[in-house]
Amino acid sequence: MTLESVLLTMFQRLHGERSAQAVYHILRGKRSGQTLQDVEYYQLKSFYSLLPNLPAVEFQHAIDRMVSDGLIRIKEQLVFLTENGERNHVDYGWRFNGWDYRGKEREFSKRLALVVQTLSNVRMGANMFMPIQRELPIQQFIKEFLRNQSVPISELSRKLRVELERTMLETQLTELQCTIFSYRLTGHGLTALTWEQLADELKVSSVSIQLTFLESLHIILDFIHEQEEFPLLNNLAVGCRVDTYLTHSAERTRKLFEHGYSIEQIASLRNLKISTIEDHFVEMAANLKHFPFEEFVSQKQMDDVWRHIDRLQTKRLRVLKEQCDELTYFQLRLIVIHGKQVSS
Amino acid sequence: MELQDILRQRFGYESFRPGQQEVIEQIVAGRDALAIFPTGMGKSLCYQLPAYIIEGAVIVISPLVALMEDQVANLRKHKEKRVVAINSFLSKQEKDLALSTLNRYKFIFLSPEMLMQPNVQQLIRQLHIAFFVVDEAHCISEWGFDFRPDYLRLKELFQGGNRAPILALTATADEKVISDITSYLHLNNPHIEQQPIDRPAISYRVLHLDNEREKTEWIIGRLSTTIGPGIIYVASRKRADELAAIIREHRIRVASYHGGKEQDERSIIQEQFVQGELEWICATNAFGMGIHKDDIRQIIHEHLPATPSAYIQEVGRAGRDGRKATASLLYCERDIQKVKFIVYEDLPDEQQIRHYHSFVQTGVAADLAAQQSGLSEVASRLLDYYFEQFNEHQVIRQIRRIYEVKEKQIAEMESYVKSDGCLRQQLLQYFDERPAIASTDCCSHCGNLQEDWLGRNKNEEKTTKVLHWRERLYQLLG
Repeated sequence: MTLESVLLTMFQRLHGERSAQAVYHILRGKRSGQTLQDVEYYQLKSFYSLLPNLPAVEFQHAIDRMVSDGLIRIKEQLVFLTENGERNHVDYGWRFNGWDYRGKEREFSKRLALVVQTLSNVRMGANMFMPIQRELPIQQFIKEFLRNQSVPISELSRKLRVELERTMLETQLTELQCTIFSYRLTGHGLTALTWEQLADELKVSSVSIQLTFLESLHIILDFIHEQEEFPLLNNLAVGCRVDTYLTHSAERTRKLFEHGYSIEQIASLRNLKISTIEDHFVEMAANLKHFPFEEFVSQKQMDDVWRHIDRLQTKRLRVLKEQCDELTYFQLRLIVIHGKQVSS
Repeated sequence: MELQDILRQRFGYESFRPGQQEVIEQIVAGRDALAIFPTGMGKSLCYQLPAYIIEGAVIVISPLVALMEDQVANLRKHKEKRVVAINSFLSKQEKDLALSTLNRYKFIFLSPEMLMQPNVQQLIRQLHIAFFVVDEAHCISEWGFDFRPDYLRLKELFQGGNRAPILALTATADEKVISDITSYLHLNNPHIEQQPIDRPAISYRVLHLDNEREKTEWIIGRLSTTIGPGIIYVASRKRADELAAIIREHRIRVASYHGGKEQDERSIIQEQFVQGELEWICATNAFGMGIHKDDIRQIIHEHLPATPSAYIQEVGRAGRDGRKATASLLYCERDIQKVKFIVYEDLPDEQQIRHYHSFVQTGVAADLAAQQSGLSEVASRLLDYYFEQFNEHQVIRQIRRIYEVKEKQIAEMESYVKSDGCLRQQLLQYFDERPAIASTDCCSHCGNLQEDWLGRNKNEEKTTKVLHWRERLYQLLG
């Protein structure tokens, strides 16, 4: 698994309709209407916010490399896979879930690192050690976590090991993932390895190691979610899963809409542009289980647009607008978000 | 309770280190004090212990977040829970929480910029304060080797009578810096406790080499034949990574360490080094503060430090256990130019000062003005401070003086590397200190180095086997 292979998959799903920059925004988890819409349209939610700290330079390097390796070509900013790229593209069956964690899975791994270090030391009678996690909130979290446990340390420690072991086996993590995962943990007389050291040891690039680790975090978190048999891990994962998928601003718009205000009224109440409020509605359409599409578009309009989408094999709004000029861009966006309906 | 009892019960030491008791007694008696203790000689205890004798909160002003966190961690390690650190890395929420519960803490660590905020000052004034501590007090002096303009603002804070005593702490200070600390902090006839900088256990060596390649070769040869643990100080982050990679090819357990690495990675590397899983660290000057490792045997400098103080601090990380250690400085002709470039980069020249001033006067925002005049952030903050109280002419003169100091410090390093005499004497002379002449293991110029103890056993190389993940989990958690 390399950054290039992830990018190749993303570009493939975007089939030449987006720029490299759009992909960068997705990986960094930009909370703009456009990016949120992109992940929805092109089934890229699992990659959303996968690398919140990815430096622009590093991303650009990867793109440049892919161009010079002949995997992609860029025309008027749009990115296309070359034939070579199509041939090289392997769908690895990624098990990422960027959408639900958005970088917060790192919080879980930090907590886990500190709790393992603490249990490992204390059970060996070493009550003084330098915490491997320096962030105060993480330290406070672990203190609180340990305070709430009633069993003796050695038993707690063993219980945590059993939970981890079971999770890793039952989620069918690869051997590589298990090795990486266990080597990011520090304990009494056993220190974790850095990404670089793991890369050296396992003969895989450092970025690949980090992506592999990230994927295993997502797999583990998905697996333990709402499973009562893993109380310790679930406790450590508290708050790592996104609970509201709307941006703060969109949430306020939703509340007003709930109280019966129209788009125009909300815009004037909130002193925002109509287009901004429309962005919020698109965000709501993408994220809420029940969104009243029928208030904005008719069934016939939807069917029409989807016929065009199928025929032209594109979801690009400009093209669709040429076909159905009577619809606004806002309506078109809602229809694309809504997805194709198999009419009965 | 007696000082000795507290020392034993709370800190687990049987006796004081030289100078500690004197400082503590002065503070307890309500006097200002300045403690100049070489790194690793127990400076922190000078404020930690009296805190348990004098009622009220101890306010510790510390210039670096890393340093602050280390001190906090250290106190917590000694079962002190009433500790809080307030710095710009806290979120607004965390900061508000800390500030609203300020009276619960015994130790309050503050960065200088936090302390300057009116609301923080307001809250501090309402507290009952045992005494103030100004850590790394040399930062207040333009003559010091790492001057911080933020520190100058403490001047205003301690003005006026009737305040709790101040304890100023630093590792190195010459007469000029001592007088700056005393006057800027408004210390009132302070007790000055200065411990000798000289560390007899450390031997010195300077090597003249022709170029960078020769330095690398020397290092490889050295690491293959002598023991660690050791630190190699290099000039840049890039070089740290590069050199570590070269050394690793020779199957020596090494890692690079610098501010460009993520915090988690740095913590892991530090822990590996402390645990002895790594033998060497290739680092920029970001490495060292807050590393608690007593058995470092070697310090190698691949570049020329900018000041004798910086050099002596970095070297002072070796041999804290009192056993022999050695410091090697590799020098080649171009190093002087390189260090000058790095040092002067942060200092504005006359034209830049004028530009910056005229921009600011016409209402251009400070950061834009700095950018337009090609100034670093450090430089513009420095100018901001001076322009508050001086006119342009005076500022230019002031900067000129700083420039001269830096020039002098680099010249001192140059004479150190080019000296024919005893290196120890040469180095300590900059701190007005005269060491006793040692008969063995002084320096490469005294020609009495006996380094048998440094010899490396070939078969010492540890190879760690990759554990199966289940085995590793089992070893960690049982």
